[in-house]
This record gives sequence, structure tokens and C-alpha cells, in this order.
Amino acid sequence: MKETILSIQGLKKYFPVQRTFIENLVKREAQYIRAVDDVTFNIDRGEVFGLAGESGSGKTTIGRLVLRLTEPTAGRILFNGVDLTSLQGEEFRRFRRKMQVIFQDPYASLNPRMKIGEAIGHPLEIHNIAKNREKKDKVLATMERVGLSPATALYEKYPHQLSGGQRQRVAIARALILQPEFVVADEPIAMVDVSMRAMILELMMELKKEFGLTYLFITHDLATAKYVCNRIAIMYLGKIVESGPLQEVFRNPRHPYTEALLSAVPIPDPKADRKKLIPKGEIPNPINPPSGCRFHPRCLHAKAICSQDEPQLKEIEKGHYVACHLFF
Amino acid sequence: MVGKMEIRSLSGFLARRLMRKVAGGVEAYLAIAGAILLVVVVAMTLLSSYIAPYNPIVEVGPALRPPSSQFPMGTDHLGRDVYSRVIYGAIVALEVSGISSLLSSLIGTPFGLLSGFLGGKTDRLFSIIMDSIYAFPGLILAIAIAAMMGPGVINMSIAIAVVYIPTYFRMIRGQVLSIKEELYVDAARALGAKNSTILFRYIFANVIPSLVVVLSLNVADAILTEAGLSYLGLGIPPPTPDWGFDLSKGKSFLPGGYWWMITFPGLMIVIVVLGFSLLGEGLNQILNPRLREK
Amino acid sequence: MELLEVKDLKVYYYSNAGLVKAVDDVGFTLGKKQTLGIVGESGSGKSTLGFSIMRLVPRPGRIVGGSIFFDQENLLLKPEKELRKIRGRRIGMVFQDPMTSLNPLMRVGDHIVETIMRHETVTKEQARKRAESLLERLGISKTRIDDYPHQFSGGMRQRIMIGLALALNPDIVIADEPTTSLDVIVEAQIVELMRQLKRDFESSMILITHNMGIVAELADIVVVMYAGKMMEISDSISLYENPFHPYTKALLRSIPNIRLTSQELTFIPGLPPDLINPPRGCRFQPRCKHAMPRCIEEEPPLIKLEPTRKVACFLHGG
Repeated sequence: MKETILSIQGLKKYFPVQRTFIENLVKREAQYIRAVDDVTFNIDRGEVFGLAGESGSGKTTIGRLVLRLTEPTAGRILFNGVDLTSLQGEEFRRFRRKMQVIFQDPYASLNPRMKIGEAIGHPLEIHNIAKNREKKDKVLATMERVGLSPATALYEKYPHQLSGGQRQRVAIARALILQPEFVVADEPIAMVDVSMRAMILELMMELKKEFGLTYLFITHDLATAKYVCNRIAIMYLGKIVESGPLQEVFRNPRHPYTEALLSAVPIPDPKADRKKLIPKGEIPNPINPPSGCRFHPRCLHAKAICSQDEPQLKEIEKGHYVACHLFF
Repeated sequence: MVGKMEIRSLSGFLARRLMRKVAGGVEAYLAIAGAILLVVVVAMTLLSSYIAPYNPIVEVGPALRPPSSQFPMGTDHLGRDVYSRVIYGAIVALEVSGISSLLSSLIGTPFGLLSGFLGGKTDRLFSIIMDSIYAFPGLILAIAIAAMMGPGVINMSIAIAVVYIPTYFRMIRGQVLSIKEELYVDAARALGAKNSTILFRYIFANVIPSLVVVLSLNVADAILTEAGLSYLGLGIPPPTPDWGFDLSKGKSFLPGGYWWMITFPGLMIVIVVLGFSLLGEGLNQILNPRLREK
Repeated sequence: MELLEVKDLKVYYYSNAGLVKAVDDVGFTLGKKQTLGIVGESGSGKSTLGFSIMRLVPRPGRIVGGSIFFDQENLLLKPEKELRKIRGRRIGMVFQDPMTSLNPLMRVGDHIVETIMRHETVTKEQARKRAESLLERLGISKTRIDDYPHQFSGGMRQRIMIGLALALNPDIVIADEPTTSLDVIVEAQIVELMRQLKRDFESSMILITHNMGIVAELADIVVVMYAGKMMEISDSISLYENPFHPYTKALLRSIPNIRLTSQELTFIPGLPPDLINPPRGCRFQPRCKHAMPRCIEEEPPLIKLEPTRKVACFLHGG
């Protein structure tokens, strides 16, 4: 029985554009970067939900919104039915136990002044779960579990003394020591050496099974997404253009952007036939996105209606949604 | 939280880095050179009563004698041994600069931390106040306060401390603003850490290296300011040995060809200031490496 | 003799932490119109190798041995003055980060014009005309010739970098991670552009990257590097189809291929190599599942197994 663990409803995040003093006097309207513009989706408990897109798509911002590292401009985020935006202060801090994060940059996400043993044990301290000996034991156990061995030796080290893959394991240990229910993974392997990526992914999937986790897997790398995600949503300029079961979306991409994205992925095989549907131009300025469907200026199938009406995300097959005038 | 753990880890961190750099870095030599100079000066201060050959405030020989084997730095206009006065002068210099730097940092740092962390109106209010103080030329401000408060070690320290509070404020605030944006701070927030924890263990802990550097350079500056105040007669009252005061007195005797009264105290000031500056610069190079080699 | 012949190249960094043997005994040849891919992970030495061909190794690095014969002349013996005539003109370079490789205070057109005028005696108008047609070739409207770098997106800046590298029709273009910081679709556009330009300008290319996907798309020959040493050099098709070296095999098996319906991704256990104290014998042996005692004693030499393939591994002889 599928249970919804996270529900995003009409989520919006607009960043005001910095203006100079003169601009403030002269221009009347403020300009905004519509990083996330009316996004709605649900994540089922126990799945790996992929959020894919290029830069400016809004995927990272959604991750930050879910973690409430930044506040939404509009919309709701429901976690286990509870509206996160309504929680404040102490209440919310306690909620954070259930939702953790693994960031992209294993170098920047660890406090350079904290030994890794301290860093991993810090969540236990913050939430008053364990102290001293008990805390240290838990930390060592977690370290061994994620492959940071020998744990007692590595406990005393500082982040700069570890390799990228090891640091990412520290980040994973830190995220999971609280045994959360939900983990936001923002490009967790993008900055890890190629030959170690599978190791991190495998670790994440093992831990998912062991702890019954749910992942929001944010990535720009579709090949990786294919390897781990159950469902996926493709984003472009702040909107979801297509979503559904991963195999289905990748086998039968409907949205022209999804097609383009899939065909653009480099193939490590010199003999593969490469028919690339490369759209012209580049991602436009997010301050003034194109009217109607945001992809229309680059779309090879654009019709008149595409520049006027914004297409809505509608179900085309069971569980498979697309926002495109070619179909609706 | 901070405190013992941070000091231990910082000194360990420093020691390790120093060891590594000694292998080949010029930066370490700066810090080491500075440290050596200062160790000598501090030792001199602590052992002053043992190494100074004469009592610095009484007449011990004929006045205005040039350096000789008996009086290595000569005697001043009151027949006092310049060498002994120079040694004892270190006490006042280090006392005043030490106390004032400590005061400045103890006041400037928390304000800087809060201002940078909280932002908004609080930040603007504190910044305006601090910027106003900062706008005054240091020495003039010190003079004004010292003149108001009167002579004495404590009063001088306070006067000089006020001048440097904005220095700490600005530096700490700047660091906080940039560290606040670092990913590991976001990570801490995502873990559910309280603001106070983030402020101390994440932000302040990473500010400490810069703080140490500013402290060293500040002490150097404070010594100069103290000497300046004494030179102008606003410092320690005679007959307490004080480099600035002796400089001032020595100046009037210079045209008569009595060069040793002004030279040796002046030289001491240069050496001590150099020591602290080298230490500060060296520490800066070590703790904030600019170029990362592959 | 081939266009470029690198022999026994050694590039070491004299860092505070110790002597880093970034490139240790590397050699290969590059012919006309060929594309050579140099692949490896971080610390493999591939970028250092690329920079050393133009003798642009940053301090504290130094080329300590070997030879680089470009058009039958050893670049390592040439004085700086002559090297400057070669850089930009006969060997062009495309760097990784288009954000920082262009002077923000110089108009894009001026970048190109200056490069042209430094190496050729032409008038400013002539150079400008060439800059315009070059921009068109790159897919950038020539009306933007007077725009500044910050007015372009990352992808377009990279195109400009490529244009700069090709402006003087060099014999070789060295591209160091040209698409790493770009989005997937832009990456595909750039790869396509590079393919076209390679054809039109008839230049050879050295492509340095960790992205096995674009190497497969562009390279004729591939050099696999690990810890400063060459593990394998082979024609592209054979490398991907039937890799010899255990490292190459493991590397290829750790990359997801989106075209495959199902895939078992593996990883290479252990830690990246320490370049100051590299492992004894074969540098890959601590992580190699086929390691034999001999691998710890001796360093395997590069042996020719087929006309277009060489491997440095005792599993394959030597």
C-alpha cells in the first residue's frame, strides 16, 4: 500500500533580483527569479524519487525548501501529513530528526574545525539522544557501517585528511545516525571520483533497505538517475515538464525536453549510434522566462498555442504525467 | 563547547601546520622569527628585575654619559641607566598593549558575531556605531580619551582599547558573513542545530584563526599607540620607565648630540612591533593559505 | 615523424608536503587530424600532462625529464620567446572553466582580434572580419562581437574559448575538461561543435577529461592514466569493447550507460593513490583484484600487444 511521505503542493520560490539604488527609483516593478514556480508532486514512502534537470531548473531549490533552509514564497510542504511551514522553532527542530540531507560537495559540507567523529556524533548531541561513551559507540558503529574503517583511527581525523569518497561517507553517516525517515540527496556523487560513485550509491541503497528510508534524489545526471530512481520528475526553468515511473519516462519520453535531455547524455561506447535531438539555443534567463510553455523557443515541435498558454501537468498514462500542448 | 576543546584543537592544528610548513615554507619562518623575538622580549619583561643591572628610576651614575662597558646604553639626563630603563620599559608596553588588545577583542568580537549572524536592523545599528568610532584617526581618539581619563596603566589601556574595538568588530563580522554562507553551516542547520550552536561551533570556531592573526597585529599597533600617548605626555607618569616617554625626553637632547637616549627606546619599539607583526603575518599565511597546490 | 611525439615525460611538483610525481614517464604520439583522449580521475596527472605540452606547468611544478617533439622540434629545449610563438598559433588550448578564462574587462571580439594580431601581421579590420566569421562559425551572432564575457552564458563562453583556440588554425588543440562545468544539453552542443570544427579546421585534438562518455564520442585514440602513469593506450573502439588493463576495465564498469536496460555498476575499492608516496611496483596494485606478488616488486613496462594497443600490466606479459 503506497503511503505518501512527502507532499509538495503549489510550491513557489521567487528570489528578488538585487537592484541598485537608481533602479529602485526609476523602475516600478521589482523583478524576480522564479526558481520554483508552482510545483506539485508526492513522494511515496520507501521510494527513490528523482528530481532531474539542468541548471536553473529549480531542483536544488526544491531540496532546500523541503529542508527549510529557505522559506517558500507560496505553497505547502506536507511531511507525514504535517504542514512543515506551519511549524516553528523548537517544534521544527525536532522534526528535523526525521528529515536529513546529503549535500553535493563533500569538501564544503563538513565543518573544517570538527573532527569527523565529532561531526558524525553531533546530531546525537543536538537532539539529546546520547552522550559521551554511548554517543561515541554509536558513532563508531555507524562509521563501520558506512565503510569508514578503522573507525577508531578515522574518528580523530579532520575532513581535510580524508579523500572525497571518504568525506561523502562521513556526510552519509552524519545524515543517518539519527535514523531519519527521509533523506534529501542533492547530487550526492557529482563531486566523487568516477570509480567510487557506484560505491556511494550502493551504500545509499543498502542503507535505504536497512532503515526503510525514502530518498529525494536530485541530479543532473540521467544515467545515474536511471540506476537508482523508481520515479522521476524532469524540471525545466522552475516547472515540472514530465514525471512518472523511471523506466516508463526513459523508454517513452513524451515531452520534447525530456527527449532532448535523454539523447544528449554521452554514451561510453564509441560505436553507439548517436542521433541527438539537440534543441537550439540555451536555457533562457530565469528573470524573464518565455511566455506560455517555457520551452517553446527551443522546441522543435512548437505550435502557436505554445507561446500563449502554459501547459498543465496532466496524466497521459497511469502515473505518467506530462505538461505539453502536443498531447493536451 | 568552545574553549578548551577549541584551544586544544587549534594548537594542535597550528602545530601540525607549522611542522609541515617548516619543511619548506617561507611563511613559517616569518611566524617563527616573530615568535622568537617575542619570546625574548617576554622573557626580558618577566626577568627584568634579574637582568637589569641597575634600578631604572634612580640616579646610578653621571648624567648624559654615552654607551660604555658600565652603561651599555649610556645614561640619561638624570643619571639613570638607559639599558635598565629599556628593559623595564617592556613591562609597561606589554601590559598596556596586552590589556587593551584583550579588552578590544572581548568587546568587539561578540558584537561582530551577533551583528554578522543576525543581520538586519541589529547589524545596521552596530555597524553605524562601529563605523563612527572607526572613522576617527586612532591616535587622536586615544589622545582624547586618555586626556579625559588621566594617566595610568588602566586608563591608557581603556583609551587604546576603545580605538581598536571597531577593528575586531569589522573583521569578525566580515568573516561571519562569509562563513554563514558555507555549506557546512547549512548542513548544521539541516541537522537541527540551535542558532547558538551554529554560532559557536561552526562559525566562531572557523573565525578563531583570523582572530589570532588580528590579535597579534593589534598588539603591535597598540604598542605604537601607547608609545605615542606617552610621547605626548598622556601616558604613564614618571619616573616609571616607558619607551614613549623616554623617546620624548630623548628628543630634546638629540640636538646636543646625545643620541643614545632616543635611539635605544626607539629601537626596542621597532623590535617588539616587528616581532608581533611578523608573528601575525606568519600566522596569517599559515592559517589562511591563499594558493592551494595540487 | 608524427605531429607530436611525447617521450618519457616526467613532471614533478615540489610542494611543501613533498615531491609529487604528477606525471611519471608518459609517452605517446599524435598524428595529423587525430584526436587523442587522455582519461583519468583526479590525481591521475592528466591535466598536468596537458599543461606540460604547452610548457605551462604552474609552479611549484617542473618538467624534469623526457622530450616533447612538436613538428620535429623538442619543445623542452626551446626558449620562452619561441614558445610564445607556438602557443595560440600552432597549439591552442581550451580550459575548463569558461567563467574565469576570459578577461571580464575585454570585449569578446577584442579577445579574438588581439590573439590574431599577436601572431599574424594583419590590419585590425582584417582581424575583425575574421573574428566575425569565426563567431558565426561558433553559432554566435556576429552582432555580439562587442559584448563582454559576462553577457554570455557558460555554454557560449565555452564556444568563445574554443573559437579563440582555433582562431589561428592551430595544428593541435588541447582541451582540458571542456564540458565539465556545462549542462548536459549544452555539453552535447559543444561536443557537436568540436566535431564539426575539427573536421573543418583539420586540426588534431588532445581531449583531457574524466568523462568516458565524451571521450567515446570524440577520440580516436585513448590514453588511460592512473597516479601519473600510463596504464593503457589504445584505439578507442578496442578500448571500450575489450579493455586490457584491470583499471580500465573497472573504470568502464563503474560508469552508467543510459542505453543499457540493466547494468551492474561496480566500484574500485580502496583509496585514491598518494602521489608523494606512490605504491611500490605497479601503482594500481593495492586496488587491483588481479594483483600478483610481482606487481608489488616491479613496475610493469608498457608493452605493445596489438598494432594500436599497449598495456602496462603483468597480466598481459612483460
